Parts: sequence; C-alpha cells; structure tokens
Amino acid sequence: MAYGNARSLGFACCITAMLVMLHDANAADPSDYLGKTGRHRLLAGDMPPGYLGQARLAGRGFVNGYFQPVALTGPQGTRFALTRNGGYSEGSELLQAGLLVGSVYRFQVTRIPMMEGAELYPTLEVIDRTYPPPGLATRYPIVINLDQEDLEAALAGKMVTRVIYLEDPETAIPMQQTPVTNRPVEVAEFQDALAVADRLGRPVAIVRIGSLAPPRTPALMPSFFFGFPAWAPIESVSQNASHPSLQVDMSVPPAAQRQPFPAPAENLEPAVTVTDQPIFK
Amino acid sequence: MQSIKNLMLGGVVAILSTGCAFSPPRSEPPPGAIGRANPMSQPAGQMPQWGGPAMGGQPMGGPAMGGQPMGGPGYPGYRPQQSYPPQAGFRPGGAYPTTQPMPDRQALAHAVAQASFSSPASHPPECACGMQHGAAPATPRAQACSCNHFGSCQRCNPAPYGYMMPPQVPMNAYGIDPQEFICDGGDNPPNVAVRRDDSLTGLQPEDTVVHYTTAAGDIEVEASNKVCLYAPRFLSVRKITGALAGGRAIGAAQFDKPLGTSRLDQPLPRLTMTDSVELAHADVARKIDAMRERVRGVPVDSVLQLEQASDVMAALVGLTIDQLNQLQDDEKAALEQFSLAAISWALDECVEATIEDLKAPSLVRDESLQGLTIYEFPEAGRLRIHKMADRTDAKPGEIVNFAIRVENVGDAPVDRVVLTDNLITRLEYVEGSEMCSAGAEFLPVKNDGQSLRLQWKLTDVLRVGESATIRFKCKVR
Repeated sequence: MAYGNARSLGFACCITAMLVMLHDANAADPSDYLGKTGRHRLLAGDMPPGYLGQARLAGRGFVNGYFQPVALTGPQGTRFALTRNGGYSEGSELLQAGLLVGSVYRFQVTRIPMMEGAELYPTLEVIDRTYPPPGLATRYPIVINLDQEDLEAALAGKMVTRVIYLEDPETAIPMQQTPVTNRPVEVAEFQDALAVADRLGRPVAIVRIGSLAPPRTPALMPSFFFGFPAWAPIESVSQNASHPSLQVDMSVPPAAQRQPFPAPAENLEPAVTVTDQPIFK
Repeated sequence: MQSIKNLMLGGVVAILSTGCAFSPPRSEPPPGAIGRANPMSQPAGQMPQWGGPAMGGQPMGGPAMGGQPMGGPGYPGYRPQQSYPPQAGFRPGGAYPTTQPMPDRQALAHAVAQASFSSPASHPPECACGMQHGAAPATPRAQACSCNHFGSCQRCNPAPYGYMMPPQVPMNAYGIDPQEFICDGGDNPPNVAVRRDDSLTGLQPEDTVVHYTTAAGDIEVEASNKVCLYAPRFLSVRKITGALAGGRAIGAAQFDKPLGTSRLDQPLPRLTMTDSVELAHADVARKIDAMRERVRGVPVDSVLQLEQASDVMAALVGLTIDQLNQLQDDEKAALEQFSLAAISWALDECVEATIEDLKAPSLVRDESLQGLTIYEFPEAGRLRIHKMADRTDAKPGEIVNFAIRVENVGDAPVDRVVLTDNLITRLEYVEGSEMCSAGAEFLPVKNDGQSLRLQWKLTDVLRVGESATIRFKCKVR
C-alpha cells in the first residue's frame, strides 16, 4: 500500500515536472532577432568556411584565379605557417602569402605567449580582393592582426570569428593604426559579424579560430585542409629583383608524396620567407 | 553503295553530335589558366569588368554577397564607349589572345573608365552614360558617370564618390576601388562660398580652395585639383561564441557618416543626406494630429482634432464614416444658430472715400541724361591653384609631403588671398612642418573630421605672374 502510494506520488511528480518543463521549454522565435528590415540575410558570418568564398566567386565581379596578398601577424613571438603537403614548417612571426579568393586555408599558430606547446589551426577564408595599382599588390596586403585575446579564447574552447573589412575612409576612425590601437569591433553572440562589417566597410576575409586539430587518418586530411588550395609565397624583395607577385609556386605535389601529419621537417621546403616590408610603423 | 551511304550518314551524325569538327585545336591553355606563362598580376584573357565591388556601407547590396550574376549584353541605358562587350567571364579562345602582355596606358585607361565603382546613392535614371578618362575636362562637373552591371546609369557625377579625376597612379586593369584611396583637394558639393564676414561655407573634408579679391572688388573662389594616395586600411569585427559568455566588449559605439542635415551650422542646404549609423536603434511611432473630412450631402467642413494622441488606433476604431457624412437631427439647431451668427457678423459694408473738387494729379516723368561716369577695370586677376603630393601610395604611419602652388595668371593683381585646406580624418598634419614662399599668416583649426583645417592668409598682394608655394607634411593614420 505504501509502495503503491509512493509509486503514484513519483508518477505525479514526474508528470508535474514534465508539464513545467514543457511550459518553459519555448524555443526562441527566430524573428525575435530580426533586424530593422525584418528579413534574414542570405549570407551570414556564421556559415561554414568556404560557403561565402564560393558565393563571391559566383557573384558579381570576376575574381577567380587572383592571388590576394595577405599578411598575418599576431602577438609577439607567435608564429604562423601555411600548410604544404599536409605538413607545416616552422613558420614566421609575419606570414605573407598570396591566397586564392574564395578558398579556405588552414594555417597553424604556434608559440603562443604564455601557452607554450599549444597549437591552433584556424581557417582563413578570403572572400574578396583589393585593387591595388600595378606593382603595389604585395606592399599593401590584407593585414590580419590576431591578438592574445583571440588565441586565449580559442584555447579556452570558444569559437572566435573575425571578419576583416576594408575601412571606408569617410568614416575612418581618427586614430593611428598600430597593433595596440587596432582593436576589433566586438559584436554580441546573436549579432552577425559579417553584417556589421558590411555596414562599416567592405568585408575581405574571415578568420575562424576554433579548437579543431588535424586528423590522424590520412583520408580525412583533404577535408580538414579544404582541398589543399594553392597559395603563393611572397618572397622578400631583396632576394628577387622581379615583381614578387609574379613568383607563383605551383608545384602541387602528387597525392603519393603527402606525408601524414606531423611531417618530418626535413622533407619540407621552406614555405614562406619573411619580407622586409614592415606593416606597422 | 547503301552501306557507304549509311556510313557517311553515321559519320555526319557523329560529327554533329560531338561537335569536334567545329572546335578549333587548342594548343595554348584556356584563358585565365594559371601557369608560368601567365603572370599572376595579369590573368590572361580576362576582360575588364564592370561594376566591381561596390562601396561598403551599403546593406549587403554592395559587395557581392547575394550571388548576383553579371548582366548580359544589351541591357537598356548602357552606351559602351569602346568595343568591349559588357559581359563577364572568359572570351572565346580564338577571339582574344590568351597570353596578354601588360596592357599599355591607353588600354588601361579605357579599361578603368569602364570598370569603375558606383555609389549606393540614388540618382535620376536618365543621364548620359559616357565615359571619359584623361586630362581635366572643360566642365569637371559634367564628367562621366559610371554604369554598373545592371545596365542603368546609377550616377551622373564626375566619378564615384565625387572623385574628380582618377588617381595619379597607374591603373589596375580590373578597375579601382575608391575606398582604398584617400584623397585631398578639389571642392566637393556643396561648393565653397565666402560669407560677408569672410568665413567659408560649404567646406567639406578634402576641400582645398583659395579665395581672393580682385581689383573690381569681386571675391572669387578657386578649387585645386584632387590628389589621391593609395592607402587602404583594414579593420575587423570580432565575435566570440562559446558556452561561457562574459568579458567586456570595447568597441566603437557610433559611427558618423559624412556631415548631413543633422549638423546645420550654415544656411546652405546640404546635398549629401546622411544619417548617424548606430548599432542599436529604436522605432518611432507615428501619430495622427488632425483629420479633415468633407461631409457629403450637406456642404459642411469639419476639422476633427484628436485630443488624445496616446491611443490612436482606438480613436480611429471608434469613428465611423456614417457619422462624418450625415447631418444628425440634433445638430440642426446648432447649425441654424451658427449660420445666423455668420450672417449677422458678415461685414458687407466698407468705408468709401470720395474726393470732390480736386483735379486729378498728373505725373510727369522726365528722363534725361544728367551725367555719365565710366569705370574702366582691367581684366580681373585670376589665380590658378595646383596641389601636389610627393608620393602616390602610403602605409599607415608614413609621411606625405604636400605642396600647393597659387599663381596669378590673370591681368591684374589680387588681394586678400586666403588658401584653405580641409584635411580628412586619415591625414594628420605634422605640427610645424608648414612652409610658405610668400608672407602668410598660418591658422590651423580643428575640423569635424577629427583632423585640422589649415588656412594661410597671404599678407601681400599677389601681382600678375607672381606665385606662392606652400608646403606641409601629413602623416597617414
């Protein structure tokens, strides 16, 4: 009898709890987060890497086949490296390379200050190009500056999305641009970083820093590295008298030569040489 | 015989279906192929494109995020300057050389003139879409407009965003993005004018003008040429998402676009309509102030004034059309009273005045030349102002030397010459770097763009043939 009462009491409690949960379990209406226009945008910054790049290739203005110079820099001592054959070289503090518009590149971040031994593998998606006068392409790359906060948040398990945009000179921030003053515009989780960047200027690249690590299975490497898109190292001006943008390394190795990660360093040729052109004065 | 015929028929069908008889042999790589023969900076076989990345600041319609395809040929409103067809993509291999050397200046010039960027501002659709490039035209304001890939003329101003002439740098074969350049000089609309108290109105960022007084006493304003530097700057927007939220965000709270009607400090109307762009915004509810309804049947006008504006919808719901159109019985007495009052208060008498025994006055007008004085002025003095920079591109932090030269090319000396340069936000004047070849009073004043407005007032008269050169340095922010 007592057992029956306890059982029915337990049932009643479960049912009550379920009713309470169902009453409170209302999913947020997506229209709550609609902007002033009351519409969802076709392309958002939260899309997986590669989507926006392909949309740009199919969109207005022909950018296929253009290697956009990009310069990656970060906290002092941090090294960046782009992949070759699935492996990485030692990297450099200032990584300059020509990247295909529309492609996604997986680069490696090592020697993070105060986090020795930690490695990150962010993605860099180039979604637009600049139009420099002839001869100035490598002198004015897209400058991407990651700071310590980005790397720490990624190592803490968060997802950091940085949308780099070309600033409108008419609404420019009246501050000297240095790595210290070059602070990003922070947006909340429910906001769209791409939409905000589109309002402030012209988005040109997206960096996504997460906690993915390269897979051990060789069969999964192409999807991790987004098909190993070609990239052009930007050599230093002193080494090469001709135009740096003409130096394209198109030696994509056959699949048989790809080393599983991590690749021994002696099998790799230097991926990048540092140029002697400073970005920040 | 029959078998030979069948064989021939089968061969013809095979050829037609595969098309191999009609495609020319391809020994060279297809246009645009990446390879050692084709330099990277000049992908071969590409045609200059129209309507490249449009301006930023435009909600999602600018940069090609919506996946809109390029327009085909023959859209209305487009009048091509050259024989370039207005279409994107590759040309057939036979119609265009696949390995294209660096285009010469002429081709580059035409290429750029057609591949310019259009601003998001809306303009009347009817305008002549002719493209020009090169030396300063006779009427800078009537210069070319830009056609976007949709075919219609979006703008009939000199160049995108008011750039009067292309930058003084070799052009990119795929067009330029004016947002990557910072310019100084010229006179953006509304034009600069001088008030009675010698202050300037209509001075926008980038404007560089000189105003002077001629011998006849006229005050003339001359604008300089525009000097552009290639100086792109990149910023970023960051979003951190995760299970743990927190941290304080430091960022810009508000961005102001160029000055608009929100800052009225001079009586001239602004042509650039702007708004303050904020990340948070509020909606404003519109309320009805008054309603005027014409009552049918009985010609009575009634103005209904809503006394309570807080709940507009409830007030409107309570009103019915019947009540407004018909004259109710209980209103007839009031109507009678009001009409009687109107009659009794009508003034149909007016004061009349008569003049008796007076001759009408007669007016005699006698015009004759009493004297004649002739003022002879020589041809007025005229100043020519030219602005120069010592470089065509600059990284943030680099110094640019500017030089402005004013020369009297008229026939008479000019007095009270004042040269004003309104720097943009990205240019920071280096203190103490200014120099003037003639005696001048230098006055830097802070402007709305968080930079300085530099002004030089020449102390001496500028005679015919004389010139004054002013130099100063600016740091690119």
